Amino acid sequence: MLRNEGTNARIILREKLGKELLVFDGAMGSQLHARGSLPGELPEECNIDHTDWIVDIHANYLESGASCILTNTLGSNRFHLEDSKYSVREVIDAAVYNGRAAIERERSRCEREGIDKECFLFFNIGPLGQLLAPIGTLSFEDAYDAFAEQVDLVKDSVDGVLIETMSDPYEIKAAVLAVKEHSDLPVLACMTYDANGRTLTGTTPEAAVTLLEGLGVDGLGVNCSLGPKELVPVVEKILAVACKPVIVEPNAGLPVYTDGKTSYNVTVEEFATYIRGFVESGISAFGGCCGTTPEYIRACLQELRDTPFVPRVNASQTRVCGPTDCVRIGDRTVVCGERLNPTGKKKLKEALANHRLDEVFSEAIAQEKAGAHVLDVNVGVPGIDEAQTMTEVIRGLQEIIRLPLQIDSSDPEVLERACRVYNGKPLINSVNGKQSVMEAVFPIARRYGGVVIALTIDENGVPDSADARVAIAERIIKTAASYGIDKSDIIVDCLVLTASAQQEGALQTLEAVRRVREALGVHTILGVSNISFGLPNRPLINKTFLGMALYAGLDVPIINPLDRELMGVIDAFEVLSAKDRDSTDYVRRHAGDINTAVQGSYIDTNRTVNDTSSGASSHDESIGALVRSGRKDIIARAVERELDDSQPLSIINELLIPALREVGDLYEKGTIFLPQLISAAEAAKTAFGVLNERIVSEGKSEGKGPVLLATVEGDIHDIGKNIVKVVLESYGFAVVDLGKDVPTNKVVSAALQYRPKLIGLSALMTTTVTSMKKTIEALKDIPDICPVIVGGAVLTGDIARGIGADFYAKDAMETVAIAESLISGRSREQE
Amino acid sequence: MDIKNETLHYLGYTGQSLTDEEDRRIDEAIAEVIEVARPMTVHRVFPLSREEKRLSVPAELDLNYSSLHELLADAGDVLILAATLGLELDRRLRYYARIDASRLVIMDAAASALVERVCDKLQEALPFDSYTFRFSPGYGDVPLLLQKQIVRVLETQKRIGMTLTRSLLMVPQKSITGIVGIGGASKKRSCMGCALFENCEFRKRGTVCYATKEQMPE
Repeated sequence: MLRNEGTNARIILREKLGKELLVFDGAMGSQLHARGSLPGELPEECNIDHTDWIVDIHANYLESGASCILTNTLGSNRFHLEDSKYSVREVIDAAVYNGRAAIERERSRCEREGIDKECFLFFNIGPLGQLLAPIGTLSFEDAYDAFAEQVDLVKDSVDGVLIETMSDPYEIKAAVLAVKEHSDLPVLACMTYDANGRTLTGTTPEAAVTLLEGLGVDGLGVNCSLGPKELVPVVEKILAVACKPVIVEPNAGLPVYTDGKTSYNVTVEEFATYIRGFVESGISAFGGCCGTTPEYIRACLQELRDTPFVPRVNASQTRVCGPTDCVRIGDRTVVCGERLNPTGKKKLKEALANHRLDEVFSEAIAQEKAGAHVLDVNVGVPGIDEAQTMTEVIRGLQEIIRLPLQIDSSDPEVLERACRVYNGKPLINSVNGKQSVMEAVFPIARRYGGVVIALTIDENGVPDSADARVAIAERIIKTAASYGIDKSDIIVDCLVLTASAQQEGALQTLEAVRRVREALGVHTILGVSNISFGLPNRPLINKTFLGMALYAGLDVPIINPLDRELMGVIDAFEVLSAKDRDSTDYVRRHAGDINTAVQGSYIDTNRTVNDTSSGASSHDESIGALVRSGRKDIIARAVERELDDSQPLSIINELLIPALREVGDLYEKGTIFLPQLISAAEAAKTAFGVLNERIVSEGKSEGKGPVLLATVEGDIHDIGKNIVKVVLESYGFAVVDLGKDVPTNKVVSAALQYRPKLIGLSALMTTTVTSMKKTIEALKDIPDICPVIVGGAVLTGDIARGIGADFYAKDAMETVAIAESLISGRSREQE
Repeated sequence: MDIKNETLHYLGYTGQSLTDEEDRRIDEAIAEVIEVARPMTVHRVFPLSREEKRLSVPAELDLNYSSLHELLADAGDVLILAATLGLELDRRLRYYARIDASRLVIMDAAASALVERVCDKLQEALPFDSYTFRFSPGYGDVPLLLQKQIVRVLETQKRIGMTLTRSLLMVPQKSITGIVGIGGASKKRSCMGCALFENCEFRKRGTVCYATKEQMPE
């Protein structure tokens, strides 16, 4: 008998997952090649052109013992099928039909032979074939739409979804969300790993598990990648942390090409032995990927006939992750960098209000370098679109740093949009004991995954006693559970009060921390520096309190990681609490400390050595010489010295500009080459930064520019644009950099917002010059628009004129010359 | 060739004097590229068939462009290859784009040099002794669109993590695809047919991108 029909199947499937071993099919592609399909052909077209092949392949796998088959739809999305003679719908409808036909054939066989068997049809989703922004150009939303289009076509006709062969966690997030938001199908999600144990985009197995379990998949694992032997360490890492059923589908080894034919180097017997090993280790489902055949599946079942099914059971851990790596909370002390928060920071506030995100990014990089493990991100500045800025900052940060982020906003709308675009599983800051806040925030955490920070405050404010704070924490944990959020996804903030105002508060906070850890079994977080407000020598109070809090059980201190003394307290605590085994990290970080008893603080010898070496190697410390030798590291100090005797404007006109002219001439003559030119430009830019601050504070802002720069839509090669930016800035131009792959409408709205004096566009390839033309056309519709200058590898003066640009510049120096004649020329006349 | 010479060549270096500090920074940047790069290659060799002046291989790959006919005129087989240095390097380059532009340009040049080297090494390791030069779509009359076929034939996404954007740019950025004739006389590369012919910085300096001055044909 072969049972199961309709929506019942997905209920049965959910019941079976993790309760009995599910057997999936083997490869489709290599089976098609064996039947005559050529490399480079779209295998999905075979659903229509060679229906018989597909039904046979499915039926053979079912007969060999598989109970779950995958539709032949790995690449059945709008991008892969762009050049196909068939539509997405035609391909998917045919694929589902073929799968059902094969199951029907198996049903008849089982009836004939008196076999009791349930079969399931899984819709197979694979990568879209384009990498998502920010590294690629495909937007998260477009990726989501493409997956949703597929899911809509099968939501009533298959029993489950298996997402496979994914390398990019961001893409698999789009796919899982599309399945969950467009169907009620069980969803399994597999990523593919290479020989170094990470996916091809750099994600670790632990980070993948963290992300996928946060998104609420029904099972997860690994497919394709390598042969079974090479997968052993990856599977072990997944099994060590996964709480959901684990599926493994290895290749039959690596492909070997001989005489235009492909074969694989792992034998049927070898494959089956490894699968038995995986089942013994606790996986819940297996199948085969590239190169496997029905014989592989049959051999596995033969090998497994005496192997009991004992899936691995793990306790849930508190983990967050970014695009590549995850951070576990509750093991070693996790430092949360506090500096991306404009509260009380005038510079950051201004940078956010004026959209100078570079300053935000440098702040993040500095914290990462200083040893932070996660970064708090708060962009709450009056007058800006907080949700828009938050998503932009998150995307920008995730392009350049690996750390998980803590999304910090009091507006649930901001949290929702940020969690959706976040690549990984974030910390969410925060909920508290107020019912309305929990109702708004918990569904977001449930939907996207996230570790939620729970503040022990409610409608009645922060209670004085530890008892009352623990009670609030308990209530929040209970409410979270009613949303399906485990307490491992909650971190409690028992709240630090100012010791100068409420002196008893410090001990109450620490008592609450201790009890939250011990009685509730939940991890804790505290913003440390609040303790010392209003007292002299705040660092001393901060350090002491941090040490006390760590001993009370604080897992995540929110601090300034650039404060080496505070970081030192953590290093020392890790030694004394036996977390830093053999004091390895402590010795590495502090072996060179010099204890300066007089100062009462130690000095980082590394930094001192660097400072001396950089100071000593330069003899001529005039501003001109420092520009020419590209000393951005020490030029700021030289400028400050010079400011004692000179006006900022005269430093610019008499020292900086002549030095830059000289450097420009040397470059044109070939006496110096590109890296030297850029170093000089960066030094001059640093000098301008110092001078501008002085000019602004004196209220004599001159302001050259702004110049708007963008690499056009579709183009990700922006190195030329970046060089132009630095060189323009070195001449004191204010530059608004829109980045790369910038859509026309974004350039237009920036042009309207900033009213630039010049707009520079870059494009590398002939394919992207067309979008440059489109952008220029749109800009020319703006009344009184400034001139547009273009540059890029394939451009020439003729092409530039042809697409409607006002100027063409062959390089950064020429761009500066044109900008000077257009902008400074005028402003100099006015002086 | 030494990777440092090649990097300097890409940077337009023509013997300018370097301070020890500048020299050290160049070495560091190159070392960082080598450390972060994760070179991966994938290739297939197909026998070429010629029927009524049309070239074909047992794969979905259209070779019928005059530049390819010329390239493959004496070849018996064709090598299709792709190489990449991986996404982590892209990330690192983006990182330096934010904080250190001179480091960025040196690393960018070093990465370009390295990915060419990776392709050279792949070809050296294959059991053939005579190759044409490496031809890439976008040169001559071969449209960039051919990249799509190469990516599918080699399954570059699955094998080495290389994909195309809608504008047919390769991601990771430091990637190469190549079509190489095997057997027969070696075809030499020339600048004619290059999309950058008109405003090439190398040609202005009297060099070409694919050889340093010492190696220039007389």
